[in-house]
Amino acid sequence: MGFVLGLVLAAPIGLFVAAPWALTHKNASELERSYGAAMIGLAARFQAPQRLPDAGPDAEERGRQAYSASCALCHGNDGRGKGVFGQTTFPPATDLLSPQTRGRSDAELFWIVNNGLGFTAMPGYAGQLRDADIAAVVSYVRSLQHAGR
Amino acid sequence: MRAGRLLLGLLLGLVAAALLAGLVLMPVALAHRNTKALETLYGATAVWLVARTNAPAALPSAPAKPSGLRGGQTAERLLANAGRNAYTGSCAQCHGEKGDGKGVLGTQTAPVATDLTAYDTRQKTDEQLFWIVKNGLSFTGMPAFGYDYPDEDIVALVNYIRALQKGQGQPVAVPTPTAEQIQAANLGGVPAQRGAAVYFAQGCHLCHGALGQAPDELALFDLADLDESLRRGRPGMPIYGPDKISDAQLKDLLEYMKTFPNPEEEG
Repeated sequence: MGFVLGLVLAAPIGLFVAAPWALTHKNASELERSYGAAMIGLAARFQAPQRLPDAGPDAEERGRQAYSASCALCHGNDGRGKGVFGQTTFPPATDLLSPQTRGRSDAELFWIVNNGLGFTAMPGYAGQLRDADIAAVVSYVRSLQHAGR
Repeated sequence: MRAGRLLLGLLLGLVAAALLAGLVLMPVALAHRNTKALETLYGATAVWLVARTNAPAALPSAPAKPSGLRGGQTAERLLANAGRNAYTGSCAQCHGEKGDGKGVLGTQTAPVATDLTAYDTRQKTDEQLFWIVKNGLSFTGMPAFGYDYPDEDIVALVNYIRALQKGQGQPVAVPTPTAEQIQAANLGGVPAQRGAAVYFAQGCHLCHGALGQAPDELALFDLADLDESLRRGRPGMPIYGPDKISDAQLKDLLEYMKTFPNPEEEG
């Protein structure tokens, strides 16, 4: 009886206290960051396509161009998240050179770029970039990770 | 005894709900697109609540003699342009140049960018809009522009949003970068190419165009005071501290900007 009441009570607490509070929340703790990254990992793992679409010819060049046009504003030209809008949103833009991002599969990164991440500033590029270009962006992110080692 | 068991059950229920939200709802939320009408209504209400609670009692008063005032320009015109310019560089990508929320990125995020000309935004006070622009809205994509702009610019932005609501916005026709122009950005290239990478990552092209060829006062041909403009900001222009553009990057940036065509030389 109490258990059910607790479950039910949690909904209004979440909706009317936690959500408005979340709108003003800044400065994530280390624990929160790890949790967020883990949840992104979980979502990406479930949703990622079986196979990465083919990036096509000149992937590096096309990937760099798409990255400069679409990603660098938040993730910065080196992928560290220091683009003009990257640090002023909350949660801030992911450091693409972090161990968490390095640890994601190409297909998982593809899904994140294609779909976006709800309730973060990450847009979904499905409507703007072709699959091959998103795959090229993923390979460019890998080259940034390689260069930043 | 019964009360004790009820309380224990209640606590367990709350913990179970928190776990459910934390481990199941969260990954679902991250993958969530396509907001339903009820959800939008709820979100707008939550935003209104925090804006109402946190907004300052009054707007910071506009300086009688704003910094950056140059000969032949009134303070009113300077502040109006500051609002328009800041909107062009910092808001239009998501909220659209007309404020309708149809910017190139604004329709791709979840939640989508707010339509600034709609009822919800019209109903907000200037102080509430000021607070939202300055502090941002976490978990929505809305950045906190207090990091980039002094208060007087944010007031100017709010005024420009009001102008948009009246259909009196005057969008700047900033040329969109071509693929060839964006190709100049290359971290592994020569200084001018690295500078181009900084230029695009810091959004300079959003106001000034890829080659500094934006109209009127947004054109970039005088590079003499680049350092000063970036580090201290200009009316309607974000401040770029060394945390955003390092001194080394500033040198690269200058090399890139030196490649801009000079309209006077071309005749």
